[in-house]
This record gives sequence, C-alpha cells and structure tokens, in this order.
Amino acid sequence: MAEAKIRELSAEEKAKPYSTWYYRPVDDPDAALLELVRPDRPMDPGKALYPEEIDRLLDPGYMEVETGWCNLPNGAGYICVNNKMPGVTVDMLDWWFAWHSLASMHYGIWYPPGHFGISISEKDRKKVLDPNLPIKDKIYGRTDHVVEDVGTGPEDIYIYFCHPAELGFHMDRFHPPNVAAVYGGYGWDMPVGAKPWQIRFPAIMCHFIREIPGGVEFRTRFWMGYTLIDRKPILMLPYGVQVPAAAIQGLAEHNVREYTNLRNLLPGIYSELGGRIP
Amino acid sequence: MLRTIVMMDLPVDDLANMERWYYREHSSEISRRYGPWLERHESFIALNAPADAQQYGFYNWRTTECYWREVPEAGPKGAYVFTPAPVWNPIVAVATPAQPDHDFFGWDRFATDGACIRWYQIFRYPLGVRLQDGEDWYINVHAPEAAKQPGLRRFFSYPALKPPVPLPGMWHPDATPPDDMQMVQWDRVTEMWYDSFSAWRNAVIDDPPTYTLPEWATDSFYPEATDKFPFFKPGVDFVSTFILERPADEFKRDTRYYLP
Repeated sequence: MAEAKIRELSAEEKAKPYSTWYYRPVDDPDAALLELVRPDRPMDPGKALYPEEIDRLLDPGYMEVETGWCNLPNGAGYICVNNKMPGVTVDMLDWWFAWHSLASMHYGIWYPPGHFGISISEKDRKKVLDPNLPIKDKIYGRTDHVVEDVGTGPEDIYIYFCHPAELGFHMDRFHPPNVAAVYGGYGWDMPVGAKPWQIRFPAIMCHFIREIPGGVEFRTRFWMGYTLIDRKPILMLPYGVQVPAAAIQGLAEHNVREYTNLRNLLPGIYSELGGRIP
Repeated sequence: MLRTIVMMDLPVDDLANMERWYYREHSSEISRRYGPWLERHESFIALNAPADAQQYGFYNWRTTECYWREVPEAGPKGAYVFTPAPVWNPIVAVATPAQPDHDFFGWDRFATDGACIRWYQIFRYPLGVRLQDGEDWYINVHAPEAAKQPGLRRFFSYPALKPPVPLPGMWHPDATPPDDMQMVQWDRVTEMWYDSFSAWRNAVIDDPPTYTLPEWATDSFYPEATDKFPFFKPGVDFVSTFILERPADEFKRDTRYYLP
C-alpha cells in the first residue's frame, strides 16, 4: 500500500521533548496479519459478525475468522483484525485514547504516514483535561475529527466515541475476563475538501480489548456503510450501492499497520510521559 | 405511509424545456407506473422569493411530494427506464413519515383564517454534531424560541427517514443524474408559515426573537457552521424554498399520456 509522506512538524511541535516519538521509524506491519488482509483474499462473508451481534464479542474464545475483510451481501464492508499487543496494558490504552486527542502531533505519533491531524471541540478538550474526570469519561461521548489516510487518500473522518452499552453490549456480561475495555463508536468519512453534495460514508468501529498473558489483544471490527441511531445499527447505503472492495481492504491493511506501530511504541511513550494528561 | 420529497433548482433558461419534460414525461411515467402504490403525487412551484429570502439555500423550481401507501420494490421490475431530462438540474431528495413528529405552533387556528406562504426547509446537523445532540437542541431549545417569531402562523417538523428509502424505477445507465447534482443526506424537514414575504422578513430578519446559540455556532471545531439563524450553513446543511398552500399539479389525477 502506498503511504503518503509524513507531515512536517511545526517549530512549536518540534520543541516538545516527546516529538522524537514522531520521528521514530515506523515499524513494519505484522506480516502474519498483513497476509490475512491481502487484496486478493477477502474472507467468506458467511463468517462475518454483523453489528447487531456485537455482543457475541463478549463470548469466550474466538470467532472462526478473527482477521480478514469482505463485502457483506447487503453491500456493507466488514473488517476484523486481531492484534496481539505484548507489554501493553489497559491503563496504557485508556491513557492513549484520551491523550492522543489533544494535538495533531500526538495523533501523528501513532502512525505518522497516515495520521495527519486531529481536533476536538472546546467542550471535549475541557473534559479530556479535567483531572477529576474518570479516564473512560474522557473517551466516551467525545467527537474526534481526524485527517487520515486509511488506504484511499486523505479523508476527513468524524468519530463519535460511545459508551459500550450504546454500541450494543449487554453490560451485565461486560466484565473481565470477557472484556477489559472497548474503544468504539460510529462516524462519517469523506475525502478531504468534499463538496456538500458528496456522500458522507458511515461506519461503526469497535476495538474490543481482552487481557491475555503478557499483554492485551485488540479485536477490531469495522462495519462500513452502517451508522448507529438510538443504539441500533442502521445500514445507510442507498439501494444497489456496495462499499468498494478497495476501501474495505485498504482500511483493514491500514489497521494492521497503525496498530502494529502503536503496540510497539505505546509502552515506551507511556512510561516516558508517566501516563499524564496533557 | 411515507412521503418522499424532491426539491429542485433550475437555471431560468432551462425552464421551458424542463417544464415540458417534467409534466409530459417524468411525472407521467411515475404516476402511470407507480399509481397503485401512490396515494398522492403533487408538485408545488417555488414562489418568486425576494433576494433576502433567497439567502437561505433557495431552490427556485419545483418541490414534488409523493405519499406512498407502500413503496414498490426498487429496480426495473417490468418498467422501462425513465425518459432522461433535457438537462440535469440540482435536486435534494429526502423521505419522511407522512405526518410531522413535532407540531410546534399554530395548530389551533382555522384554515379559513387566511392564506399563507410556506417556508419549506430541509436541513442536516453540521459535521461533528451527533444526531441526538442536534435533535435535542432543535426540538427542546430552538423550536420553542423560533415559535416566538412575531407573525409566525404555523411551524411543524418531520424527521428524515433512515435508512434511505429506495425509490422504484431506473434511469438508463448512460443517462443517470450526476452525483454532483444530488444532495440526499438530511436530518429534518420543517415548515414555517407566514402571511406574506413582508411578514416573513419581519419575523426572520427585522424583529427576530432571541435565540440560544447551538454549541456548533461558536466553536471552530465545526467546520461548516454559522452563528446566524437558522444556524445551518445555507447550501451546505440547509436548503429551502417558498411555496403556496396547495399544489400547482396533482399528477396522479391529471396524467393522460399514452404510456405503458
């Protein structure tokens, strides 16, 4: 996958002591996962999980396919990736999902070739910076605007992070060892500079975290073409429209790349910055 | 039952050819083919709104409403493709329930009290605003304030149906309306009625009530936002037209063309 050149940091950004993390060489993606999301190898859609069944992620064990991509028969796009993250803890992930929203350089450190910018509202910034607010409340309910290349060129992406119950999880089963954390929501994406008439593509995103010996596993699911209204997944594709295969595969591959890089850098940057916000 | 709406804009030089096509071909094909499912198929001609009323994403041609008892399946299903238009023009399309979900103001008057012009609005909440947050502001904060406009006669609103409603019929693969002429992702349809354009101007521009700004009006995080009433950027998140109370055309009743 061709990746864009990384954004040059401003002088102010470079002056931050942790800007060295931005210039850290990007790690090669996990080869085994990359193989499973090859463009010529879509998974069997019959083995996909639908968003209405999201609660099945709380079941012990694994799905038949944990990493792959495909078009669903209804035209939607489905992605699943299981990233193992040795040495990573839920505390680190909680911190990351709050801290990275505060500045484009933070977001860029995650994956410099594909993460160009992030912004949040003034109201959400106050929440992230509030020392008295529990860490999960700095994530749930926040809206991120990211500029990101997920495989088909730079896009404006709006992500509405949600409480797990809003995503459809039954909270009576939402506890270890079934789950350690969920970072998820729904959103819209469109090419950067899209005109008002251009279709905004919806998606539901779920990063489902379980603790495993020595670290965590990051079970990601994307449903492209769906949105969430009143806690219900709604397929928003017009009649006859399919999410392009290249967009689905591109996002799957991007996911492998960005989370390989994150898993390798997260323990170090968390330790260096002491898990503090900002 | 549901209602589909198509609001159309047109360069004035295309008016004659498009009126002929719309009346003779397009509306007739729809009424003839889908009449068994259609309860109403009516079109309203846009009023010649003054310049200040055109600052709100004004669409200048027709607004056509179809009320469907049920919607036939999409696809050709035994019909020919639609006869293509002589030119393609900008449209917005949306579907709503047949009845509004909020009747904010004016229901307790009599229809005989006097005629109105209808400000017909289609909008969506700006990027970055969650649907439920936008709805909370619009329904619980904004609408009660807007209902205080001096001279407002009627005010009600419909939610846009989601998922999008697939419409019957097919365009020819080589004669399909271009994507850049269609806006189809909306959140609400609202009507506000006034005695006249002068009454509208007084209520909206000269003597408006005090409005509570939505969060998006003052935070640059929201890229397509405005702090001016109606707090949606015209042409981006808000389009509108002005029509009279009754339709100019009732196609289902009037179609007489020889069509399969």
